[in-house]
Amino acid sequence: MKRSLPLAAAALGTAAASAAAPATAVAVPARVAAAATKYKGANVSYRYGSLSVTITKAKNKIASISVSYVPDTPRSSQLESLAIPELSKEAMKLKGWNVHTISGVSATSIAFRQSLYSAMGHADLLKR
Amino acid sequence: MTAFPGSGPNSSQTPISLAPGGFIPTTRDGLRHLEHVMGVPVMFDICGDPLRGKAALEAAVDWLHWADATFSTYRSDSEISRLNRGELAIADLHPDVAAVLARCAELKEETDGYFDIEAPYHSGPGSGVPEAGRGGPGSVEPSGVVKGWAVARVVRILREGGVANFLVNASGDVYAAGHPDGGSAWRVGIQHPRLAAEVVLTLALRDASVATSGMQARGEHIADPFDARVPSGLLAVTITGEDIATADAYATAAFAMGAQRAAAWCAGLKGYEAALFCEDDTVLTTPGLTRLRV
Repeated sequence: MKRSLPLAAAALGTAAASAAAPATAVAVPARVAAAATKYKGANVSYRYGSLSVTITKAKNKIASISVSYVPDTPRSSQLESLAIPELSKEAMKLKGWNVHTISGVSATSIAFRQSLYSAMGHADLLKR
Repeated sequence: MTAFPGSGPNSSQTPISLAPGGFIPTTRDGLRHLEHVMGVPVMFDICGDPLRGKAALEAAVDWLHWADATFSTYRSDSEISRLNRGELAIADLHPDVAAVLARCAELKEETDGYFDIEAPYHSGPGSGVPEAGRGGPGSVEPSGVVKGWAVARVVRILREGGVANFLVNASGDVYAAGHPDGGSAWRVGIQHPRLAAEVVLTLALRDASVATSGMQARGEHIADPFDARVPSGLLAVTITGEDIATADAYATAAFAMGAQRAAAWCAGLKGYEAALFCEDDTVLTTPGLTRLRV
């Protein structure tokens, strides 16, 4: 999956004026994939559990990023009774990025960033 | 679309690839500016004539710094700090400060007491114990509404300066004025409450604000004002509507209510729409918010 600098810039909170990447997955060509190496970042605990970021390095750049996430909130059924007729309920989904700006809070970002930097360090991708 | 990995029974430690995409460029030849003020980054994207935009932006930024100096509880010489030390009477406050405090009192009513600027100083486990020099019981901490109120004033300053199409993003609270170059509405992504680099839903907004509250980087800073506990059942709350200070305060209050009470309260909102992100990885949305989704 082609996902290089636009994501990294966004994840690092720089919100740089990067060209919009197409909102479709692009298969990584076989010869690039063969040269790609995975680096796993530190497991970072935060409010909702812990996460670690794994990056794939190819051609001295981040080719893809994935996240492993372990929730520490027990999946309870306490909210199943939450039936308010006026509200609709659905599972949270991941939407592709195709936005001008982001509304959110930053606790998650910190853990993500720490693990991402750690993975970039392992991959020798941090600037010196 | 990928189901959130935390929602299945054997899903922990399942790596997911992040959804593809990126930021859409906001403006062809306008201005982008980042200003650090009030302890947060404030991002401006201004469409149209860059010269006109620059003049309006400078006026807006100057005003933000005045508001910071006047309201900050981190500055010992601000009007709020002097009020909290008893050095200023209500009657001596700048009219803007008095107006903000009056609005805070209204918001407390509108949120059934859950938006409470005196609450940070309540004692008890999990409550915001005041930092040294920041006042004690009876002090006010209006920062929760000042940021939104200041952005609303900035929106007015920019419009009076002849700018119609722009975005202001103050640390995740957004006002979207007019429309982007080459589009009819601003697309504002709501950050996934568990995965920072993900968007969980996208809203199309025009002359509207959106604010999100949840656990913040500085720790669990929103406490239930009635028992000072950290609220349960919710990961984050997003509110959209015309006034950004109201949206921000409503989001803070709904988050403090916890899932059950917030759902009932949000169902009765007028002019504002809500998305409640719950700990069981579901999202509850009001009908009006559903209509804004893209």
